[in-house]
Amino acid sequence: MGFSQPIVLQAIGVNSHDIREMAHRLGLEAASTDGAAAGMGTMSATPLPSEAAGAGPRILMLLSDPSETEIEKAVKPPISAGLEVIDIAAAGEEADTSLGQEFMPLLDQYQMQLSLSAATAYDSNVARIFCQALAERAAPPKCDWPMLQIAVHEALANAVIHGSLEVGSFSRTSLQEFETYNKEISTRLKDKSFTQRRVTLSARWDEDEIEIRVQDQGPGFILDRQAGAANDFASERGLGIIHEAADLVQIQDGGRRVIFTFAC
Amino acid sequence: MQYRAKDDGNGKEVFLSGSFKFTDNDVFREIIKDMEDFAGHDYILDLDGLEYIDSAGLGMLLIAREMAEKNSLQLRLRRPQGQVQQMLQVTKFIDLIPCEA
Repeated sequence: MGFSQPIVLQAIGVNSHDIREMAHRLGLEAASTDGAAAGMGTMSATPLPSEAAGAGPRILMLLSDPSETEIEKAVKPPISAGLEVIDIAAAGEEADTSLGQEFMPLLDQYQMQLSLSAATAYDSNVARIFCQALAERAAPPKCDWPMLQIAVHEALANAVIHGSLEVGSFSRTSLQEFETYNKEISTRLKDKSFTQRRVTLSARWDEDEIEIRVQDQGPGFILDRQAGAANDFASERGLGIIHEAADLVQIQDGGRRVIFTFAC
Repeated sequence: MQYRAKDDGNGKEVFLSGSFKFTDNDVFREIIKDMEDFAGHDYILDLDGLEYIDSAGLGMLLIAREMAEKNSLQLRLRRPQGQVQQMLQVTKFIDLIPCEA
């Protein structure tokens, strides 16, 4: 899998050390750096020779504990992807070591991407930001945008709560389970080994359809029943709603990835 | 999500507003606690000001139904709009808790 060059890293509020560390983890070699020490740097970088292919620049915007306004900037043209710098010291040295292998190939497959920590995805209205940007950039006239946003939100909520934080669903009929759920959420949100896991949203589109991909780094899950039959809301993890909203739904990578398609 | 409540002694109206999402478990616990302490009969969740609800929000409404049954309250939903109405229809939720237009 090759990807186009050059790659340009832009950054908001990221120090020069973290910019270079991210370039390294992404498998990039720095060509030049401009103003990175001020935390608003731009780095021109090239893919390693074995991976270089094609043409056309890609701009990756690096973010650090971003606000919603900063996330909005990271999904607007000409940015190809917004990428949060996670807290490696808290999450552990092993965190993000496969970022280049997992993330860079997607640049040639998806026009728009956002990769955030679970903490940021929990605190921000990422589904709204992502879908508004998608509507402006893709703009197929007949797409059901409200239903698309509902599906993105449900997939994102699954990736954050059940994937990244590893908190199970509460039974809709158990006050006791709801209390347990509340306690677990509260505990996990204080533990960076969970909150610094990545949640990555990707989108690609053409005149006929929009495809959304949501990936998390949790342990995955096994559906109790066939996902295709999960068409009531009480089914596992809101997947019933995604099935209701989308035309095609695929669960991959042991439950860590959901891909769904909307015909337009 | 935000809420405000109006109580006439026998019945209570709780007006929800904003977005009711998976991150609102703490604020909804306050409503569940209020239902547990409420000594009246009718408990209405007014959804007119609610702009968005997700599946976790719907799940929490079912927890409210459980508390209503436990405390012998008559729980009703009222005036869902827009996306909230759409979600209640998509999930056939209206079959589970009485809902007034």
